[in-house]
Amino acid sequence: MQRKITITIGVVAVVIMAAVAASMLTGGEDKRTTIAQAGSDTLLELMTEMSESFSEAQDDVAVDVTGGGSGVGIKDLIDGNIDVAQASRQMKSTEIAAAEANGIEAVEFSVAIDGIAIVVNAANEVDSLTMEELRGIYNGTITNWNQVGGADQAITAYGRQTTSGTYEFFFETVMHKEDFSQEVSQETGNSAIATKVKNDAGGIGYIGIGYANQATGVSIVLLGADADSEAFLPTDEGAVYSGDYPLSRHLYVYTAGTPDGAVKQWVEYILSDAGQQIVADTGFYKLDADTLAAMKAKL
Amino acid sequence: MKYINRTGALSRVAGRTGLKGFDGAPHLILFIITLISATVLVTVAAFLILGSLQAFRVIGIVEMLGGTVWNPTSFNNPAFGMLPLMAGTFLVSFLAAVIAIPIGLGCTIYLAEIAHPKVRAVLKPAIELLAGIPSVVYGLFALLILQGWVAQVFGLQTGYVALNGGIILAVMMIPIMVSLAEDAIAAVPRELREASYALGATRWETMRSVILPASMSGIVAAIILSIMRAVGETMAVLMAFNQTPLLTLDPFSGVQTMTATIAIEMGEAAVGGLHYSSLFAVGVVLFIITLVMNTVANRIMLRYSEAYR
Repeated sequence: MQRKITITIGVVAVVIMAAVAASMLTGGEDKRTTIAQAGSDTLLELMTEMSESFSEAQDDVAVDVTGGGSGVGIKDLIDGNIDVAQASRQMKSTEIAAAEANGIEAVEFSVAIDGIAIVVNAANEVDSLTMEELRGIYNGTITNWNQVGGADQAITAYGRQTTSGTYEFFFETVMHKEDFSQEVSQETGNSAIATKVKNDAGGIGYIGIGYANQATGVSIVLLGADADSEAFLPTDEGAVYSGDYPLSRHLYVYTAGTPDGAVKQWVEYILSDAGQQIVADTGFYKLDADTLAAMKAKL
Repeated sequence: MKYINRTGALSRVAGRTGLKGFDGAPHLILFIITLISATVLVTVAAFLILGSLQAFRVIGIVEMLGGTVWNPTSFNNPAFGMLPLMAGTFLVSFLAAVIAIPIGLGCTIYLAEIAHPKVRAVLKPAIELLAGIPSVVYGLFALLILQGWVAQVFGLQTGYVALNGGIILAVMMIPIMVSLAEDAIAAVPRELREASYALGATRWETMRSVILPASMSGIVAAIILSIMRAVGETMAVLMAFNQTPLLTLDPFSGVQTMTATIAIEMGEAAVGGLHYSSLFAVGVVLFIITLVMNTVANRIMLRYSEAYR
């Protein structure tokens, strides 16, 4: 009898503890008095460093930065869950409309410029590609390097995992949202792509410019908008700034309404010389003077 | 034996809570500690199942388990067929098992019956030590070194193929298999061997006709548990070959395993979305596969431990 009771108590205890643990795992939004920011994982490292540096610079405001992806950050901003969203893409018109419906006017600030480098194995003689060729390689219509002026060698395409911000950018800019070939290998980071391209004579991959500069055994190819236009390297600062390099993009933060108080302080810091130096230190390009002035004028 | 206790723990402890002569505080404390670990299992299962409900409801269980395309983030036609992932897990584990079983059993027989006790005293701990190496280290080896050898031996352009993962998983399986199977062989009563020798059987005949059949269930359990290790491995497979969700059983192709899919895609999948939920569904299927294999191994082990008592 006593044993039965013990077992019953045990079962009940297990169920209760499981329920509590499950609810702790799944639920719980925690509101802080600090600035809450979420969004792009591409920007996560940059924004975390920025936040640390910002905390050191003054005592009043702390910024709690989390990832989740640009879409998640923007959705949280629309729902009023966070104060600032970081995004590696611009808000879509549907998202802007949804924000307005909730009485939130999202204000966009460019904070950094990013260039995506296309890398191939160092032994590969192909040194220039067009956007069309790049699309062909990643959708599976071009499968051999001799189709793009190289040696007779099968192409292995390396990409980022499906939910990466860089993947999203590549998906939109290069693929025009058409499906990738299922043969494109999903790599979990820039360095994984660099390593595999280095070890695969037929490999090609796309990685952030910061990583491409450090990688050995790979070479960065020139990229042209089409066969008629000039091709550029992502290390060519001028081409990245002018947008002549086809895979350059702005990275953004969005605030709910024109920033004031703590949020204003934070955005000001991102746009300050110290903030822009962190941008450069984390492997991105600083904003050019014109953009910077335009952003400061929005404050 | 730590690999065996996972699901067996609950029932075994439930039986032991009524143990006589173990009352008072120690009883209670141990009981609570055990409850906590049981709770973890139930929580994980509940968490997975709750998370996967949306995917199973929206996509449908048939489409999820039988669909041949996994492309959850496609803009035009997202597809949530788990078949390529299951094929990937199967292919890599199968290759690993094919490589590991002969080597593992050879090692086991040598260690158990042939090796001089002094040799065994060195070799067995050395092999067991291999089990303690973190999987990311094996993964790194596969990513940087092994792939080059695989590419060279098989004349491939790239060594980042399923076989590369199979080989590295086999290396990870062997210590578990050898350790458990050797225990099983060692547990065969001396009387059996002596009786066999007394009948004039040679060492090899004794091994083949007496000891192996007598310890077969333990050996089979050792094999199943080591295959489980391969099925559940994530980090090493993530690094060893190209992650391409192709529905193929070609050892020279890249594939994507179920574990790797969760690891790759969970990080940034929108929380609460269909993709997020479908990854939980992959987890549920993986959980069921592991549970079934563990239960089978436990049953077999139980039968074998009862045989001589």
